[in-house]
Amino acid sequence: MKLRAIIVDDEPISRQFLEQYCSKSGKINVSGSFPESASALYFLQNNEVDILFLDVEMPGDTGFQLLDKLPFMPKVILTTSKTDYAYDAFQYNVTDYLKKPFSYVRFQEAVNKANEVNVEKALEHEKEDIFIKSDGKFIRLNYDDILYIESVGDYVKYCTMEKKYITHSTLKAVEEKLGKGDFMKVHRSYIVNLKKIKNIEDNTLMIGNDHIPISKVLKSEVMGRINLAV
Amino acid sequence: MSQGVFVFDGRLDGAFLESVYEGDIEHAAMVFDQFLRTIPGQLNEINDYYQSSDIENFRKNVHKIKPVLSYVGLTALTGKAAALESQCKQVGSIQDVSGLYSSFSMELNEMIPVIENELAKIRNL
Repeated sequence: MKLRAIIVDDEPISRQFLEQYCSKSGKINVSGSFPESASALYFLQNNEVDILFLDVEMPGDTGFQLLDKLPFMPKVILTTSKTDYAYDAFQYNVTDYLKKPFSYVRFQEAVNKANEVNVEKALEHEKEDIFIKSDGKFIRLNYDDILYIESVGDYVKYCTMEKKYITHSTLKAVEEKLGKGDFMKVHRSYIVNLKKIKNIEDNTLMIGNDHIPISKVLKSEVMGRINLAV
Repeated sequence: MSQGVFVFDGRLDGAFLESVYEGDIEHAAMVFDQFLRTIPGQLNEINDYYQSSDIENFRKNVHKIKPVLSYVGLTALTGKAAALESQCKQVGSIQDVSGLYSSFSMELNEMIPVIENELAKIRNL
């Protein structure tokens, strides 16, 4: 199956270049090509993709600002003519960093990397537990015991019925690790276990005894993921 | 169009062009054509920002065309554009980059007919 990708770059020749490379690879279907972040965000709020080829400096939101607003995290391949963004790239856990101009061989390497990560991600979905480091110990948490995960500054808090565990990580990294099975990011600070939701009222859901906010832009996706009787 | 070996003008970076097009001369023609259609407008825009001493937008637009220059074999000018972009961040006034901008602009304008000629050669294959 081909990978789905979009391209976000304000420079038309750079977009055309990537479109051509994607077509040549035979592995990627380009679902959209956008000159700025706003139109790409609108597309991504309604469509999922596997790979996001993303420039950084563009009119309006930068590539990183676009990532902050995404409802999900595809594999990101940065395409930029500067190397200054290496630190940010690391922080955002991007799959690869293509410094423009780049050759077809270099492009293929990046795509292969994204493809490998996709396979790993598929395998992650099969897993039923996760080890987290908390209080100097590696602790096994069964997915089924996790109610939700909350972002708290540079840390995340795993909440189960019995206990809360704090570990040094980011919500994006947790989202990647848990995959899309029963977990969903419902707000920029929360990932919830969909199986544990007791009720939803307006833009708030209840899990255990806690009320979790639902971001307005993600509300329709949440409603789409639960087994809603009609 | 033939897919045989095409030898680019010696003033262009043939090795780099081979690494990006890998003999796909139709793709090269497409990019050269798009370059020739867009670059005059982009250069005018850069010059307008230079004339109005808008160093930030001048820098942003130099940054934007920087990789594109390499896609038509002007890798040396990509290096010059990078130097220009970098100087913009270090200096206080756009006048401080006038020397480099002038030589960049002159060299690029000299190379446009070379690109036009290459496109014509490809189309005549």
